[in-house]
Amino acid sequence: MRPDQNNYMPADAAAVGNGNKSSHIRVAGLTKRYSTSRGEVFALDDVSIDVGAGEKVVLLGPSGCGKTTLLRCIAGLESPDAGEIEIDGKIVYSSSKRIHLPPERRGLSMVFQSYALWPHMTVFQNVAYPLVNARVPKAEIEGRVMAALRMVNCDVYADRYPSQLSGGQQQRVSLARAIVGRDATILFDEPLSNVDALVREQLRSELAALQKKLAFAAVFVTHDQSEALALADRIAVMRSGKIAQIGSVREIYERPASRYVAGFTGAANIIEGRISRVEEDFATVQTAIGPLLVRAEGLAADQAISIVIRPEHLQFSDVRPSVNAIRGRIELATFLGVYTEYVLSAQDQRLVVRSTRPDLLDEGSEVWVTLDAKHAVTFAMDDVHE
Amino acid sequence: MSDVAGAAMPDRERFGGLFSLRGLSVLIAAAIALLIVYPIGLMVWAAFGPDSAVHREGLIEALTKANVWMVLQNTVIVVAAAGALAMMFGTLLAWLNERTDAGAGRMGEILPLMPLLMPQIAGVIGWVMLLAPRAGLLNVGLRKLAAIFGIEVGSGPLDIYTIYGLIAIMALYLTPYVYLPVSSALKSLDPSLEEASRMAKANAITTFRRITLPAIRPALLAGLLLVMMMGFAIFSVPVIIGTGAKIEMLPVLIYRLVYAYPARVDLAILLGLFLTVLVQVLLLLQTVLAPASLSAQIGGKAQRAARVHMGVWRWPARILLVSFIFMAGVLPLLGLAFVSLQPFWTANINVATLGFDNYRTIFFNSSLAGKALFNSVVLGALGGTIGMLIAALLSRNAQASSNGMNRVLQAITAAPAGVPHVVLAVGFILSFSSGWLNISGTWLILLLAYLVIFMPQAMRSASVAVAQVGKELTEAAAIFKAAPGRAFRSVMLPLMLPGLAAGWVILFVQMAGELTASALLAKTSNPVIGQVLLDLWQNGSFPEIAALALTATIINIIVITAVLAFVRRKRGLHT
Repeated sequence: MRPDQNNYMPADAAAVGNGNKSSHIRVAGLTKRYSTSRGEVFALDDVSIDVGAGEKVVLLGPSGCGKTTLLRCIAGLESPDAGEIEIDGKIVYSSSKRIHLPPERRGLSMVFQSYALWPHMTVFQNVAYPLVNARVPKAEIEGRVMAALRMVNCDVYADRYPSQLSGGQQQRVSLARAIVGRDATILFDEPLSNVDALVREQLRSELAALQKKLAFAAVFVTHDQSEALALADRIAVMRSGKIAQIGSVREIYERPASRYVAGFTGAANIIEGRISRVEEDFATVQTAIGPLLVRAEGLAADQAISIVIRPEHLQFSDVRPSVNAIRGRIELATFLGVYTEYVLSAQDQRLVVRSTRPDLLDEGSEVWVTLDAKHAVTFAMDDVHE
Repeated sequence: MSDVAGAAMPDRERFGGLFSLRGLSVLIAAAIALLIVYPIGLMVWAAFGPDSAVHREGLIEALTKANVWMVLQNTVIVVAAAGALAMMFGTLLAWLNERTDAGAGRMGEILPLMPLLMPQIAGVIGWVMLLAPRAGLLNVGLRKLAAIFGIEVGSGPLDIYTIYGLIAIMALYLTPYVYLPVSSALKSLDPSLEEASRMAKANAITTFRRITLPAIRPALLAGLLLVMMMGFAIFSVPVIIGTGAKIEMLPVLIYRLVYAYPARVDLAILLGLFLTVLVQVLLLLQTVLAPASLSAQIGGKAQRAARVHMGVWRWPARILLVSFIFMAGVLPLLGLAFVSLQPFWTANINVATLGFDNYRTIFFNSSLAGKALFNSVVLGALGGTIGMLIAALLSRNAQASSNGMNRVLQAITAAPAGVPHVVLAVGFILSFSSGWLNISGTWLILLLAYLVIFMPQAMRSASVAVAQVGKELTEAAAIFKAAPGRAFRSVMLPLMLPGLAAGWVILFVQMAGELTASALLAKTSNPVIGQVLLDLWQNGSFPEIAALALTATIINIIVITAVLAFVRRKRGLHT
């Protein structure tokens, strides 16, 4: 089926891996409408996105933003109203050319949120199913199934039924089923949302390692920003059927294009103000909690802006800082293990600060807080109501 | 859906799997539609066409002659009274079993199944054998008891051949139609709603009244409409008890108009159409008033409800539950068993004369009874299998996409629910008794009638079975490269099997014990249990009836037990 099937790869990866064959998902102008009692709603509104071979792209957004619809349209489980989808050089959906391939003919795999392991088949039968359907010779099936199961450390459960496994084990088996067919594309629908926190962390790193080894292109759907940050090469933040921003993990985190994106990639503080002076690199912003210095890039004097600051970028200071000094009162201190989260009130502004300093500051005490200008992201005010 | 494959694909590959599945379902639906529309259409023509006797005679005149007004009045009174009783007991029993500590073990599963154990007419006859004024065994027992206290009476004290007897037995057979929707609504009703009410200082009764009842209102409504529909259509109770009590009801009148001499098929048709309209209105009300919100209540995982402690009432409540099980199954069975061992039905039981002669008669001497048993079992098994396969296919398609065509399919398969069996049978007689369509007196006309009659039941079971298979499981089959046909065979069908098997059992027992349509469609050339029981009853050969009814019941019990054991084993394996 695949030209590189005989490529040499070490150990199990050779039995399972898909080599370096270029995979490319190209989605162009994809649109999907639902008609509701209040008129038409766009689940997907002219969405375009490319996924490179071996790349990991995460679709991130709140429920109802269209991320799952996009994934299911790529999978062929839902039919869009317009646009085009190409997988691995083959057009699998095109409204203009009237092409709509069913899922079984799209050459991809998927990991489902609910695992979707068939309860009447053993683990082995579950994993072998895609191979049987692809008419892989019987002699080859056992070896490939067991290799895939070994890669997810589930080979000992081959003869069990899914109901006899824990949630984490079931998700591993469902992962094995997705990789066994050596598809160059694997879709993940909230793959970790059904397992408990401890298992989730472990599975996440195993998943990343597996992807690195097998180099399939991966599209994840998640609403969990920490998961997105950990899994992605690139993140596409979605909102109301559109891609609000797409970029590398660092870009999205450090240079969010809108307050919406900033808010979705980490709880953020937002301070509103007006620019009083722009110098070479820095601009001074007059705010309710005093003047603040931010990067001048793209800003003009007298502009109304909002400043977005992540909680970890606000720092306590024992003495009054020379710039960006904010005086506040600690309203609430919550010890969260790695860091302590403080809620401060400065004038009427509420600020959230995450601090890793070892000593606990008392609730009710007055403190100095400062921020590094290079971490403050600014948006023009007209973006505020977005 | 626009499942149009690439233009480069050869046509066969493009449509292959999809076409066979979808094409097949359209074909089946068309056949069912034809089997309903054609007979009913012919009936309408026969009733109102220029050649109809009603047309010549005048409608009112014809109806008055047939004593229709009296019959209508009887029907309404009996259905209203029996329906009210069934609502009360059905709801009470469901609540006791699901929400109080009076319910125990398998009782809740067994209870609604009890009336299915024996062909309905067998159960009704069983009750007559218990409660007939002179020879009724329960009456004999009560009289013996009274004699101890020196009270000697020749008959009674209870008499089933009265309006009260009629209403009581009707209510008994209608109760499961309330119990089922109410108990399943209670099962899926999030118990934390009730727990929250208890936490808010409401006692058990206030909670039942203010929280539970309003929350299950759609189920109550569904039960009420179901009870009325069944009440107007039910045939076995009125034909046995109503006739004995000289209280004629609508379905029986229709039957007699066809069978009496001179036959008044035209009037039967007219009344049949009236009955159909009546039931259709109720059906329409059901879809409008009790919509799918029933299933919308299902909240998450099956939680164990905190049960209400009944205190001193626990045992009386439990006795009520058990006594329903007894009354719906065990007692009439005992009545049949006793009479079947006697040479003739008498109040004076003489142990010396008890024996199995009646069984010998029905198996070896009476070819009709033996043939009827064989025919019914084969028809039940065949009809059940075909019916469930069709229903599984149609429900699966309906789940996959809810486009216009699938909605039409759903409507078509649900339609027979609104056509009383006796009416459909009259329509079948009209349609399939002459010309090249003449299949009257064959097993085929029975099979077709059964399939149409029980298709809504089959669809209900199948859609439950389909719904139990998570949507992602079938999607995963497609993702992992199974074509639709193979996905259906390798994933859907095995996963639906327990649900389908449960549905098959219901179809089997109902088809094997069908009376209403069979009474008109079965003849000596194609006898079935229900019709032979009715014939024997009208000829008065009671011990033989008892023996035949008991044999049919035993077959039912064996089939039900075997299939349920299979279902339980399958379910246990995968969950």
